Amino acid sequence: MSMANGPDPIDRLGAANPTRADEVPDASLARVSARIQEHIVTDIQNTSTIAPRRRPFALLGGLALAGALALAIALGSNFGAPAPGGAPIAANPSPSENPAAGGGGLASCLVYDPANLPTFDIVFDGTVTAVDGDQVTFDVNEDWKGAGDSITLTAPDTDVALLGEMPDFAVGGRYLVTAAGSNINACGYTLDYSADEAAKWAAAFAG
Amino acid sequence: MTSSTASSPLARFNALFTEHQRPVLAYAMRRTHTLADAEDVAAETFTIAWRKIGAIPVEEPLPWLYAVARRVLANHHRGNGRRERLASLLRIEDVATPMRAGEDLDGPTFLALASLSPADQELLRLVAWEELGNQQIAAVLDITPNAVAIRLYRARARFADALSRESRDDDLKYLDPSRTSADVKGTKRAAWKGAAK
Repeated sequence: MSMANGPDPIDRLGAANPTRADEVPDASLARVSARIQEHIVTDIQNTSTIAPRRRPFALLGGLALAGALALAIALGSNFGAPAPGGAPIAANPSPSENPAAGGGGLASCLVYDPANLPTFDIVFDGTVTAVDGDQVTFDVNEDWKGAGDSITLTAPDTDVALLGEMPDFAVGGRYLVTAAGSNINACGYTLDYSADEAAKWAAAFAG
Repeated sequence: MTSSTASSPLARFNALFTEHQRPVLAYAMRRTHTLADAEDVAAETFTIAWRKIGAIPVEEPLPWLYAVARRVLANHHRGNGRRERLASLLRIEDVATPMRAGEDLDGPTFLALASLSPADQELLRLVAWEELGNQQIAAVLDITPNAVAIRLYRARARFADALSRESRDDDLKYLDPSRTSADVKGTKRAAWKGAAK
């Protein structure tokens, strides 16, 4: 056994590196990211320890949301290309495209479209009357679906990086809210009240 | 109420994924024959990372990720026969893992690598392609840095010999244009993409 003369053979092998990290296809990274997001969303929903408060099928509703998110990814709807330099992948619209939606990082939201509102369990325009930990109580100004006159919901400790932003609820604040079971939805489907947006939400339930 | 803190598991995972997604996918691409396989390995590696986020070394997570990817790859190679039969039945056409332009799979470097034992190959790949040091390789392979140094010394020497031999054979290829270097050695294409042992 003898070492070859000349350049270090390891250097030669290094020069023959078939795939450099900065050359991996962005489309592949996007697919990998989408697969991981599905697992994370499912894990978070499955390990949620928040007890359903209003209906026994609240967790099921959460899982349906997870499925919807995964489906949105699978269908590639508005699936953004990875940001340059391997930055996190955002599958939801950027705030500039969609003022209602937030998020970034691994965020993977159903594309914000008021036409999707009737698919949620609970949809309403409400004013916060109390905040107790993660429990938020609303007086309902306009009940489009499933809210009644007053309702207490859970604002899950979602991560903006995963599920997009949610308003910081404050007593006296007015919001447009959707929920899956007892959990308030993020992903731009719960937002600060505006008359323009409220009109779109109302239109989604018209007829 | 709703935003993550820097120390939350999800925030930590997001940072980990952002920083290491490319090296991990590249690691998988160097060791699999198709892009779909590489994506499978990378996705499974990061899914495991998410579920074990508390166990990942804060200072140097990449060797930990490579160690997981190595085990995922080993499982993947074990299941490959079944998957290939299924793909054949379903007539799935897979996309080959892309290579950097200009690389010759039948060139002496790859043939020399393919002629070594899987253990030697993986050691050399970790040095040359993942550019890891002995300490990091030890974490990936779950052996001591001293063992890495000894094995690497021997693997490097064997690779140098093989490279010298393959380079001579490559010269023969040009003396007899009807022969390829693969003919000379009877080596299958991309045989160096073996299981990570």
